[in-house]
Parts: sequence; structure tokens; C-alpha cells
Amino acid sequence: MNKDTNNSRIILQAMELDKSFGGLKALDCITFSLSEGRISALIGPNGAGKTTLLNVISGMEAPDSGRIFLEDSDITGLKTWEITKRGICRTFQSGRVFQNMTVLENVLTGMHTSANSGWLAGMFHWPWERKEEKELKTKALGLLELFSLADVAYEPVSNIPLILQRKLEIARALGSSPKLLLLDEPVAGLNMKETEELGETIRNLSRFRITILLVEHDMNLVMSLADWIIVLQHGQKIAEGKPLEIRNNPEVISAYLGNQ
Amino acid sequence: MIKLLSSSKWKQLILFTVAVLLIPQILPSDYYFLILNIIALNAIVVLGLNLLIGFAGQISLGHAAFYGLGAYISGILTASYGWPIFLSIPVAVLTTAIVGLLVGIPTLKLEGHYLVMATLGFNIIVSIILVQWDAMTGGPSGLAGIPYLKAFSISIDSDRKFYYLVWAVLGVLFCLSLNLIDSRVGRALRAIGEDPISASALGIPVERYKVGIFVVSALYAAVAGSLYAHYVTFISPKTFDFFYSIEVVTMVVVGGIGSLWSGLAGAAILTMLPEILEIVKEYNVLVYGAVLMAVLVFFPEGLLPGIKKLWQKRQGQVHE
Repeated sequence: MNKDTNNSRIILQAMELDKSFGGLKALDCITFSLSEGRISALIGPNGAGKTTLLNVISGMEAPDSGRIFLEDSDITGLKTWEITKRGICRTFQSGRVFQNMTVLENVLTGMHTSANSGWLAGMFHWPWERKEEKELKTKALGLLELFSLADVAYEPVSNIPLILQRKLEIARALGSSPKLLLLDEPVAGLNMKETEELGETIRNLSRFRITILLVEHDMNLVMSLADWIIVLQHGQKIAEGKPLEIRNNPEVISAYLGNQ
Repeated sequence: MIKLLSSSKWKQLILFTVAVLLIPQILPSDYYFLILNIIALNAIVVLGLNLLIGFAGQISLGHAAFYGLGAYISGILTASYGWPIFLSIPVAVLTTAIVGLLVGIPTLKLEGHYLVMATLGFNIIVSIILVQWDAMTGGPSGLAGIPYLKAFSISIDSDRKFYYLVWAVLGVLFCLSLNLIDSRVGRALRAIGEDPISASALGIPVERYKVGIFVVSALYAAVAGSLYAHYVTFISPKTFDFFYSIEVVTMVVVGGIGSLWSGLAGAAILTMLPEILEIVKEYNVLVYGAVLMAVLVFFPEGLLPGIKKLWQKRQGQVHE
């Protein structure tokens, strides 16, 4: 098992990832690793390649070259659903909860990989299928409780405010019991108070002992949440380190925070 | 005994069963059974199609072909090869399902208009085969001499007898479909219908489920087709051309996409409408078109959901 310098387990290892769109190098030889239980943040100016990197890790786009390992297994080039099944789940920029479902149904859908019932079981509602559904529902309601969403469990998603939809998307992602959670700009579009609230929610995720990779523009949030920061610019990794180190890194300051 | 249904659905289904059993008692003539039987056959096709279109969000204009394959395979096996019906129908349904699988795997990689075109193309190919393969299908003049359904010593040889059979089959498939929606697979299908990218990010193998529901809907159409063949005992290719595919998709849309009860209403209304329009004689096609347009303009979400909304609005006004 791979360990980092602090002797904690490495969950994800990306090695020399390259990805180009036409002539544009969106990712240029990106190498990094994520340690278990940490909240890492991925930052960088617009167009730095953050979302592309997230897409490559979650299998929505295949890298041109390079490898990605989840724990010890190579997941490069697997399809998104296979990667989710192995333990990486993501949320989306601007949020993508199912508007036509209730809050509870969203979380139940997120638990797809933790159940087995197939077509015939669904059609005939065999007793064991009912039992599985019941257990799933109990688990889902428990998850909603943790996110203070239990009161709106049976509401259609379109009826609940944006901040709750964002929380729901995270709860739904946790339904697949991921080892690594990728959050793509979770607070985009929220006001300051809501941002703080969602930040608290993310901080509290540590009780699930899961590893988080956060893409975020809000620097206050990043500084308050992240244990580790990776900085991208023009598809290249220009720095990584603890928040304090990054804050004082001259290259990062000139690239990202502007010359001051 | 398997518990087939959760309690919440019982009320509606008991009403449904009572209606199905009561209607024969009050019908004035046997002619109405013919219409009710056609409604049920259409409703079975619409049921499967509604799962595909309304829940998984995939449109097919090829389901007349599956309806036809079900009819022709069971028809040929019994009429030309003397197979017993209790074997020919399962073989017809399973063979059609396999064809559905083979068609579904490549075509469901396509989306939107392209999927519509591909399924339409498949329908046309099947139509051509039914017409051209004279020796096997009887060609354009059709296939005659298909035996009536027979269970033990009861021969289903009248409209009235077939009525009970076909509505029972519809009832069972309806229950199975209601169950399916309310299950892990059903949620996955709805997720795919709303947002396939999100669905795949939750670990749902989108392509596999799309093909799965396509096969299920083909299977339903084949069941209806094979029942149809042994009901009318004579089939010809014209019944299964792509106009029928359009008709069943229209039933799904007019009834209301994404609700199985609405699909049933759509099948009933659009099957009866031409009969009712006999009263306007030569203008019937014109009025038929006008009615369709009016429904889609005034109730874009479908007839049943639209009427429900109107009703709720009225109730609201009364309370104020």
C-alpha cells in the first residue's frame, strides 16, 4: 500500500495526465496524489484545467496519456459508472439533482450501487426485493437526517431552495459510499451565509472518513476547509502544499491572486 | 403467495378491475367488444412504449415492427408448421425480444432525432421483409388460417371471450410495470430520462439500462402482436407499417407522457376517436387532426395530467 510522507494511506494517484482539445493543452503532465481522509482543494484561474481534471478522474473524459490509480487498482479509461462503482463519486458545477423526483428518491437513486435488485425483482417485487428497498429507504432517511433534509424528504426537489438542493447533491453522492468525493464548485451561486452553511456541511463530512477533492473559486472557503491545496495554471500544476504555504507562494500569488 | 403490489396502488387497480368486469354487462352489442379489444392491444404496446419514452426518455418509431414480429412469428409457427399456441407465443415473444436486443445495442448509442430515424428505418426494413418474403409470410395478401387461442377445452373464438383474456393480460402487465417504476431499476430509468450524465455519475450503467427497457418494451409489443394474430386469425403487413408506430407514440403523448394511467387513457381515446368521428363522415380525418392539435396546444403535458390540473385549479377557486 502506498503511503505519503505523513504515513497516511494514498487513495488516489494521478500520474502524468495529459489531455488536449484540438491544439489546446487542457492538462499537461499532471501528477498528484490524495491522502485518505483529507480535504484537498484544486484551485486555479479560469481555464486552468480544473474541471477537465475532474472529468478525467471521474471517467467522463479519457486522458490522452497517463494513469490514474484508485488505491491500488488502475482505473484509467474506465467508464464513469464503473469508476463510481469502485468508489469515486462526484457532484456537478451548478448542481444536477433530479428535479422530477422527490428528495428521498434522489438519495435512493444515489444508492444504486449499494443494492442489487434487477428487472424481474423490480417487476415482481419479490419479498427479498421489498426487504432490500426497505433497508435502502431507512439508510436514505438516515442520510437525509444528517444533512437536515429529513423534513423535506417527500418534497419534489423543485420545491426546495438552492442551498438544500446543493446539500442534497452531496447527500446523494454519499449514497454510493464513495472513498473519494469530488465536489465541483459546490457553493457557486450561493450567498455568503449559505456558503458558510455549506462549508460547515462539507467540513462535517469528515465523520464519514472520506477523502474529498474540492474545486472551488471562493478562496475564503478553500483556505478554511482544505488541508492540502493543488494549484493549476494553463493545464500545469504550478504548486501544491498546505494552505499557508500556498498563500505565501510567490508563483501562486502572481498567477492566481494577482500581483500585489 | 407473492405480494404483487404495495397497498397504495390497490384502490386504483380494484376500480380498474371492477370496470373491466362490469363493462360487458352493459354493452349493447358485440361490436363494442371489438373496439375494447383493440384498445387493450394498443394499450399493451403503449404501456411498454411509455416506459421507454416517458421514463427512460428514449423515443422509438419502430414498435409496429415488434408488434408485427410477435404476430407473424406466432402466426407462421401455428398456421404453417402446426405448432401448439402455448409454445408459439413464448417463442414469438422471446425471438422478438432478441431482435429488440440486437436492434437496441447499436441504435441506443444514438440520441434524439438519430434514434428516431434508426428505429424508423428498422420498422421499414421489417415491413419490406413481411411483404417480400412471400413464401414464409404470405406476402402483401397476408397470412390466413391462424388458429384461435385455446386453453384446455376453451377456445377463445369470440370477441367476448377474447375481451376477458386480453384485459387480464393488460392488467397483469400494468401491475408489473407499476412495480417496475417503483423499484431500483425504475429509479435508474427515471434518472436516465432526466439526466443521463448525472445518472452515470451515480454508478448507473446508462447504455445497459436503455437497451434493457427497449427490450422490455419490444417484449410487450410482441405479446400484444401475438395475441392479435390469434384473435383476428388473419394478418397482413399493412397493420404493422410505421404508421402504426406513429399512432402508438401519439397515444403516449396525447394521454400524457410518464404516467402509465395516462398512457391507458391515450390508447382508449385515440382508438375510439375514429369510431366516434364516423358521425362527421368524410370529414373524420380532418376532425381527427384538429382534435389532436387541440389536445397538444391546450394540454401540452397530455390529456390526463392536463385535465387533472384544470380540476385542481377549479377546486382551488371554489375554496377561495
